[in-house]
Amino acid sequence: MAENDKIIDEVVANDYKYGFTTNIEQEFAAVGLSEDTVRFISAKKEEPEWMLEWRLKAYKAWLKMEQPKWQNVHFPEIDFQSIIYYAAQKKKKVINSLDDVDPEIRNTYDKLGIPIQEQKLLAGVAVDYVMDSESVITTFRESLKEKGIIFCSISEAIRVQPELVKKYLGSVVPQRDNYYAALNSAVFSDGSFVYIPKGVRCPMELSTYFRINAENTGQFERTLIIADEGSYVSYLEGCTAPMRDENQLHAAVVELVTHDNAEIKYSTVQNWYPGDKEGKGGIYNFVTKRGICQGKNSKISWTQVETGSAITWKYPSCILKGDNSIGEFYSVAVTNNYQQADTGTKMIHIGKNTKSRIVSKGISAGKSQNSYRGQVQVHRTADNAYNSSQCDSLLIGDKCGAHTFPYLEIKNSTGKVEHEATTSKIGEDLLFYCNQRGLTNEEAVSMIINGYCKEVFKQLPMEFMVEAQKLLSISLEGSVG
Amino acid sequence: MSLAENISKQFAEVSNSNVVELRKNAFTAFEKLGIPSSRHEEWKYTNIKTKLNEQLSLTPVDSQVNAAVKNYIASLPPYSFRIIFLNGVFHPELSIVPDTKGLTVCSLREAFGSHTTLVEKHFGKLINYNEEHFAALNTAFVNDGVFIHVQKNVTVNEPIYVQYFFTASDINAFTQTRSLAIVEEGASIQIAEDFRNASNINVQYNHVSEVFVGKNASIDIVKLQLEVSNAIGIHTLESQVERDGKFSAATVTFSSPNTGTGSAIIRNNVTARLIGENSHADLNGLYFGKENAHIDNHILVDHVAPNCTSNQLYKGVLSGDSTGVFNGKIFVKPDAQKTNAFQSSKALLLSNDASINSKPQLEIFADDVKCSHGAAVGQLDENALFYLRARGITKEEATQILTYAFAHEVIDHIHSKPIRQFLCDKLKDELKVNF
Repeated sequence: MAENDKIIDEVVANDYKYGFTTNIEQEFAAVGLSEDTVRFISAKKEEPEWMLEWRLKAYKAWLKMEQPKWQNVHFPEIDFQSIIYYAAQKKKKVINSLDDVDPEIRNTYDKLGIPIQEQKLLAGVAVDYVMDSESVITTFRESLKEKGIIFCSISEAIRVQPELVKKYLGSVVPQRDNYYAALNSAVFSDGSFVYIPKGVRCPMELSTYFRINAENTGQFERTLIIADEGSYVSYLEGCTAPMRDENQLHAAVVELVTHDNAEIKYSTVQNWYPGDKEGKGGIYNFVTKRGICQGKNSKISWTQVETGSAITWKYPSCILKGDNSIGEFYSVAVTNNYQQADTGTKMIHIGKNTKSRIVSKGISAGKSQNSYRGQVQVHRTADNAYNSSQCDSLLIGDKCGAHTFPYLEIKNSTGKVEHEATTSKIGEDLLFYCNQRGLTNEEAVSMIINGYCKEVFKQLPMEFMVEAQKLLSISLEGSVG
Repeated sequence: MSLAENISKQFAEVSNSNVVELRKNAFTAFEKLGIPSSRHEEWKYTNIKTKLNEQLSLTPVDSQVNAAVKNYIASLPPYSFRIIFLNGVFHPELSIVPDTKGLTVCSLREAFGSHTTLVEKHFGKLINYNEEHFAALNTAFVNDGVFIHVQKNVTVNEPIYVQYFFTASDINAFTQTRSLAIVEEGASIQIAEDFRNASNINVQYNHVSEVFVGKNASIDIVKLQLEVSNAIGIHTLESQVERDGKFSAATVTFSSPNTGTGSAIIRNNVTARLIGENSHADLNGLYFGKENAHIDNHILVDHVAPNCTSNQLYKGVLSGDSTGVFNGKIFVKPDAQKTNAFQSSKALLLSNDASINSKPQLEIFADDVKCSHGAAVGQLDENALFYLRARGITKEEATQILTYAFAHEVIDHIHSKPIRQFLCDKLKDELKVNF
């Protein structure tokens, strides 16, 4: 029950508890987007010529594109000229140990409840902190280096591993893939780069925490993970952002590549500022995440817990190109107040005997709108492809909406595709049963929802699982009763 | 001259005196909408724009009864009510409409004159011509169709059989037909609409049905599209159901061997709008695609009032290089609490070149609901096939038996016994099973 008490305490605390601002001197790019902005960012990052050209190509493609309008979310037009595309910390010094980290930043992370030392010692997690687009420190690098694993910021990878970056960057999400991916390709500031060499099983969970810190800066992260033959890696991405009034744009791109017999497990807990109870403020989270199972018997597994952001719009996808490859997508998306979410996945079966599994749990409360949008494609070449999808939606309150838009496109007669979706509210009989046993309504709902999401939560690494359960309770606070 | 220009020119020539205002509005809407391309979300998988002939002629051309029509009429079960259209023109000499108390069945053209108030009150009221391209086109150009009115508390036990034949020799004819059915409080009726190409060329047609189900009334509609080859057929069926009313619609599509080189496209838009409490809708469908047939079913169940229920069951069997499209939508409006809505779409792919695009969709704005959908695509159960073969049945026969069982579930839901029997026989012929 101690865990429950903690949840209730946090529930009582009420306001967005991660809403605070760290005051660190920053260096900004000029407001707005032009070719000069792209050049400025590239120069700031001391990038080679080919990288600048790559960015400019993306920028030119972006200019010709139109903002997509098909999604089931509504927001005022974004003025791309009023955004600052680059913010880096001014004082840059070489950091060897955690003690050298700016105390303000250390303080921030302490408030977030991520004591670095403790994580370092107990959880065995190497954390690549990204504080507003700039890598602050990379821990555990030495021990990863021994195994030949490369885990660094993408800007460093561009300098140190140009061949790998050249080969894989944009290979899964090309520059002109979609409007926001093109924007990201042009102005991405930083992100993580992971390379796992042949036959290596990464000994620890790799993880980054992204924070959007300076006011008016869109965060354009770029992540690239490559798992070479027979390797394995589990990567965690967790997010919290401070309270702001103006909507902030976040357009990240994540690319995963697995070769023969390799596996990548990518987990996300996203808890950015969702806006206040009247729907004012909040983050726009427009993300392109895609992985390709390039080799035989490879596997990509996406797990996401989406509780934050005013608008969440993302579809972590798998291209199952290698024979016998497997794609998985586990998602919990929670929306409350005026939040909107349009999220799901794409499973593209190209190779023979490919399998995919989709489990999506949506919870909508308050006046929020929550949509699942998924696509399963079985190409002519994909003999014996198998997909099973399950999308459940839970409605709490009579002002919210839950929507399901699955697209199933099957072009091979040996393919098997099964899709099931349900929408309902929490059964009164379930609540009554819990009440009878002395649980309050809030406790009962919290318990039922955690049970409802368990299938997804159990995919998460241990420490994320606990955090995810707490986040769920906080997100739904006030909507039950 | 583009198709749009061609159509505009022809509208100027439509000299009908009835519902002029509505026609004009619908036409203006159509001019704005045009013919949808595959970039339009509702037409994503059916590229109709490239398939329609630019020289389409929307004015009906009457023709003589040919042997194919005569033979087919002779093969029909002895229905008490039989209404026959040739190329969208009513043929009273071929039709049988016995006088029945409380029931009016006549051509729409006649009804514009004899039941003006009733028709004007209902005609075009269920069509959203600002969004539906072909319903707008139909409203602007409609020439004739059938009008059915059932008075309060009248039960009609025999099905009303409406047969639309296409015998045109004009390859450019784009026939626009329409039916309007009004069933008053407590009344009930069964209607069958049959579409058949009795010519040896490709035909195009665009049919709209509007159905009003009164309080505690019931309507069963069966749409038969038994030979879709050599035809582009667009069907729109819009219904509105009041308190305690029941609406059931079954769409059965069979493609016959393609004799020509033309397209075989069938598009069905079926909408049930439950506007009164405790009303119910059953929307079922069965489709067999062969060769290059393209069969597209778009279904929408709109739950507006609380305490309503709906069921959808769609099954398809696709072979050759045929394509199936299924888009089933369930909308639950904010006030429609205590809604139970179910949907199931299943497709069998029997050849490697066949494909299916399925999009079951739920949009729910009320919380106290139970809604679910399931979609499955696959093959016949290996174990069931093995079981039958172990008992000395050949693989081919076993496949036919299992396919028959798979398809029969939809036919089982049809209420009218003669029509159910007719379809059972048809299904047996199609699958060459005899038991």
